[in-house]
Formats: sequence, structure tokens, C-alpha cells
Amino acid sequence: MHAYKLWIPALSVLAACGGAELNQTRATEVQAAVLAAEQVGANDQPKAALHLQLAKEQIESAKRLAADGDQTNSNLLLDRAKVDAELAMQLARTEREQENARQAWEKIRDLKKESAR
Amino acid sequence: MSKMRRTFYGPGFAAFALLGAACGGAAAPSTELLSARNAYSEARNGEAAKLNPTGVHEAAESLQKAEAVHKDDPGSQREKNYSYIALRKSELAIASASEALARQEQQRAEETYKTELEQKSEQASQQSNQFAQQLTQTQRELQQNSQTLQQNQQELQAAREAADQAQAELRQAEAVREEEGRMIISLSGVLFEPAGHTLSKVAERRLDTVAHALGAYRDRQIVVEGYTDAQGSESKNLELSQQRADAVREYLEQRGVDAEHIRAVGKGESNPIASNDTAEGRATNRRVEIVVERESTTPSSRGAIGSDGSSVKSGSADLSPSSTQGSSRSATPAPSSPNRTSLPRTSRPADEPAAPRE
Repeated sequence: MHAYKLWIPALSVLAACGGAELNQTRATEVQAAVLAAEQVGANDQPKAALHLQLAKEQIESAKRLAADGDQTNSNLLLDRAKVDAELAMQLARTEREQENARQAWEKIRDLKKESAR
Repeated sequence: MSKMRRTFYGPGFAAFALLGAACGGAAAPSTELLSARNAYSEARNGEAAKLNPTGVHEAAESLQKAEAVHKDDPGSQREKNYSYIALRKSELAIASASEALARQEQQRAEETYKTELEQKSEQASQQSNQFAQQLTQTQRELQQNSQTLQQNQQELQAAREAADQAQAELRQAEAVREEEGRMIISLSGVLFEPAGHTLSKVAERRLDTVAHALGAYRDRQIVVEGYTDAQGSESKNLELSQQRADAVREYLEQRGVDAEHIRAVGKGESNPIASNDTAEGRATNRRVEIVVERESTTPSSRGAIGSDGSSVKSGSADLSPSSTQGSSRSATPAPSSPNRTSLPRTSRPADEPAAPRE
């Protein structure tokens, strides 16, 4: 279970206050996923930032479709947005771990250089 | 459990997809569906299958939905939407596996780093121990050297003091003089039995002091020179002086003087240091001189006849029996001159008791 899902109740209230026709449960989950991705630094990494942007655009499209009464496609777009937000978060985390691993090996190289001196 | 899922959703799903494609007839899959299929294939065949089987399972489920929609409503927006979601699920599974892989890599790097650090620390510790041991060894050697030096200094000081004391004792007990760096100890008075060469008790006590003093000159050559007065025949006197010198040498050897460093020479009535015309003068001339040579010199500078009777060195004219009977005898004694003048002899036999004799 993703940690961002814990924020869903609070976000549900906020979404409800907007008075939109959007599927509230799904919209809340998507917003939580977007927030989580931003918190792990998705905006700072190009690939993650792209998916985050896609998620946000799809949320806006979903809102418009919902307003037009097309609930089915609105829900589908929310599903797409959610999976993009999740991917953005995952990519950010992966990038961070890969950077940590690179630094760890760099540290070993430095140590070996120091020992060889 | 995850293995079972992979087994179920892996080949099973591939068959399902092929079947779907075949049944679809003319309806070609959308670009989104094709992308989703490729992405899933990559996830299923890559590291994700091992490292994130749950994610791959979710991707499979999504692709199944997309395939189902494609079957029911080929080319629709719904098919594209489900395919899009399936594509992202596969990408998510792959990215998640990459994260796990990176984490493993980091862990491996940290373990390697720790091992390297431990090895380095161990090496440093060994080196430190080695240095400490070397330091201890050096300090020990230094201490030993210091002790040895101190001991040598003490021994040297003791030797100096012993030499000084020995010389002082000698100077107190006997007539000691120095000539050209040589120390000459002159023993006169009653040393031997009359007309003999056996040491008297008094002479032995005096020689004990001399032997003790000579201990400070172990590296020097020592010559014992025997002299008589001019009474009696010269050859007899020469023989007697040799016997007396030998007696003194033997006694000194018994008292610890190294036999390799001492020899005896009989000089007969040569080199008188007093007049042979008076009893006192003859008594003075009857003497034994112990010559301590200079350091690193050959023991022949004074010239002598060896204890075996042969001439050791004939460079000095007043040493041979003939030269002692030369015409240059003077009545004037020359007690301390290095080139002592021969004194006139009388016609009395050797050691004849006309004067106080030993």
C-alpha cells in the first residue's frame, strides 16, 4: 500500500468542496499520488517530471469530461493520471537510489586511491 | 506464491494475447496496445520478474483488461486507455525493479566499502604494531648500548684508578723513573741469597707489589734486567744476573704477569749506577730493573741478551760482556741518565762478600 493513500480522507474533503462532478474517490487517489511524486522530487528529474505533468494534464481533462457529463471517460482519464503519477514517483525514487549507489561506488574508488598513495 | 503467479500470468497470458489477436480477425491492435504488449514482455523477461513479481502481476492484469477490450471493442478509445494504463503498469514494474536493483547495488557497495575500510584499518594496525615493535627494539638496543657505554666508562675509570693507584704504590715502595716513555722500576738492596739467585722473602713481598702494579700494563712488553756489581769475573756476573732476572720473571709470571709479555735479560756488571769501589755503591749496583716498554714498541730498544743467553739485540754497545769491560768506566755514578756511563770494576770475584751482599 502506497503511503500517499493515507492522505486520501483529507484530500476527499478538499475535492468535495470543489463541487465538481468528478469521481471523488478516484480524484482523491490521483491527487494523493501526485503529491507523493512531488514530495520525492519528481519535478527535479526530467523523466519523472514528464509523467507528473501528464498526470496533471489528465486530471484537468478528466475534470472537463466530468463537467460535460462523460463520467466513463473521465474515470478512465483519472485512472491514467493516477498510473502516471505513480510512475513519476517510482522513477524519482529509482533515480535517487541509483544516484546513491553511484556515490557509494565513488566512495570506494576514492578510498582505493587514497590507499594507493 | 509470486513464482506461481509468474507461471500463471507469464506463458498463460502470452497464449491469451495470441488468441485474442487471432480472434480479432481484421481488427489490428492499436499502437497503444502494441506498446503495452512490448513493455509487458520486457517486464516479464527482465529483472522485474524476479525483483518485483507483484508489479509484473499487476501489469499482466492491466494488459488482460486491454486485450479484453480490444476483443470486444477493437480500436476504441477504451482500448487505448486500458492499453495506456497497462503500458504504465509495466513501466512501473520495471522502474520499481530498477530501484530494488540500485538498492542492492548500494548495499553491495557499502559492504565492499566496509571491507575495504576494515582491511585498511587492519593494515594500519599491523603497520602501527610493526613500528611499535621496531621502536621498542631500538629503545632496548639504545638502552643496552648506553649500559655498555656506561660499563665501559666505569671499567676505564676503574682501570685508570687502578693504574694510578698501582703507580702510587710502586712509587712509594720502589724507585720508579721514566725514560723516553718507558717506566723503569729499580729494585736494589737485599733481593737474593748471597751469591745465589733465590728470591728472599722480602724480595717476594716487594715483587708482589710490583706484580699488582704491572696488572695495569697488560698490553705492554716488560723486560726484567738483572745487574751485578763489578766484583768477580765478568762472565760469572753475567750468568748470575741472568739467573736473577729469570727468577724475578718467573715470580712475576706466578703473580699473574702474562708470560707472552715478559722476558728476562742478564746484564752482568754493566751499567753501574754507583761506584763499585764502595760497599754502598756495589750494593746499589746489585739490582734488578723492570722496564715497562712504551705502548706498541718492540721490547728491544734497550738492547739485551735473552734469557736463553743469546744476544737479543746488539745495537747497544754497553750490553755485551766485552763492552762492559771497556776503558770508559768512570767512578762517577749516573743514576738517572738514559745513557748511563759504565763505572770502573774491581778485580774481586763476583758477589764476593767484601761488601754487603744479598
